[in-house]
Amino acid sequence: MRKESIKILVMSLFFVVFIIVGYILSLYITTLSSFIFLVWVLFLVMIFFFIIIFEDLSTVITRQLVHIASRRNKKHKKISDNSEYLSLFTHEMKNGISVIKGYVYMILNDEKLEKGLSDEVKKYLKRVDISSSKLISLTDNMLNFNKLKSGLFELNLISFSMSSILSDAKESFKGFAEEKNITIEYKNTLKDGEDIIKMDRFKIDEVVSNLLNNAINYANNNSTIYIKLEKKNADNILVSVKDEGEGIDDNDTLEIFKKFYRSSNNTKGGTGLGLYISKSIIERHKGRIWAVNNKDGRGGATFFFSLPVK
Amino acid sequence: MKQMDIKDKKILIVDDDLYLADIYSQFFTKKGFFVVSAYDGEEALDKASSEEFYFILLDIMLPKKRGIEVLKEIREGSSPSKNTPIFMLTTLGYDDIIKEAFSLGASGYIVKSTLSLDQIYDEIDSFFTGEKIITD
Repeated sequence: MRKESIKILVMSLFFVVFIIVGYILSLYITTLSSFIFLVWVLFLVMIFFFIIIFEDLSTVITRQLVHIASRRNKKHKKISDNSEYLSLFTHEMKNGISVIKGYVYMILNDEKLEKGLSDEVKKYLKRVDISSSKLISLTDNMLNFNKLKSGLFELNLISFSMSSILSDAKESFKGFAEEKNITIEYKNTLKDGEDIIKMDRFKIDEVVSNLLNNAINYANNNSTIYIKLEKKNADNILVSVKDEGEGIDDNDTLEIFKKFYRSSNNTKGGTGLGLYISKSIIERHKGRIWAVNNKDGRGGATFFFSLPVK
Repeated sequence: MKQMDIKDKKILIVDDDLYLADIYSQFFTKKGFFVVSAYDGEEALDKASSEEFYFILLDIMLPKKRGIEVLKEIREGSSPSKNTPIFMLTTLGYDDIIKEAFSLGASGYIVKSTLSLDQIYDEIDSFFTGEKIITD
């Protein structure tokens, strides 16, 4: 209300000043005095209407803009509510899976406890561990997918050893590989320290897990999976995961990195998110990821990713 | 290869999940540490204020006081553990909080679901021996 009355007061003052100026002008230009005064008043009336119309329009426009903004805010709020719920949900879920993995570890790594177990029980416990790891990986993919979708995806960069990620991954997938009698070999051709690069170590870990998981899924029984870490050029390191299995349909080597894409010869299940997320993670690191079918006659495919050293 | 100095070292492990706290506590006790456990943020702060620990494992999602606030109060206060290395435990998905934790003086972060117990141990070990990881 206060604001409105100030506006009216200022407007009326302007009008009074304009009319006085018009009157004085008409006194000086005596020949056309009454005509000029009339034009002046008409001009003022036009401005007056123009202001009223403009005021009205601007209120409508403002109201509309506010409306759109609030709708957008609501939508944004909904997204962040969803991600928050998903974060809490996955937190609880992963805590639970960590407990399962933790106790399995304690049973299998305790001399006294382990002694009392038959080989069969040990085998089953290892399977519990493998399945738990798969669930965690699935949850991570879902979480990262949601973050990518809502624009909340961020990297936590630290200097970390790529070699230790790869050798750790080799160890954690050993049990899963043994189920198909697959051997995992790891070779590092980099010099000491050359493998330390800036990265989000847990997200790169996820990429390696996705690639290894796929490799084991698609590899033939009794085959070998080769992980290799090497120099691509002066500015990049190159990681490759090679399997001896059915390979990729030639039309699919690019398509498999797309969201929800399922290869036509896919017989192994999966969510169709792993490679898409891996690609997003690598690209956020300013690296590249791609796949080729092996041409050495033993079948299978090799997945590569390169990451900048600096 | 250098080794972490374990003998008679007291560590504080903070996790509100009783089973996880039990797993970590048993694991690190077996390694030779003397483990003190806390199950919420306030208890963690109380215990950190009463004596100096060799390192602290601090969960981010805690009842009563969030892990990040516990970290902040330990670093900003006059607690005997003011300069103790603190590793944040997380389950991933809290990228912004991890960034905040580093800026508040966390020594590292550990994704508990991704790493095995041995890997968690290696991670902490390499912090003390200066291998493998260089945090910013």
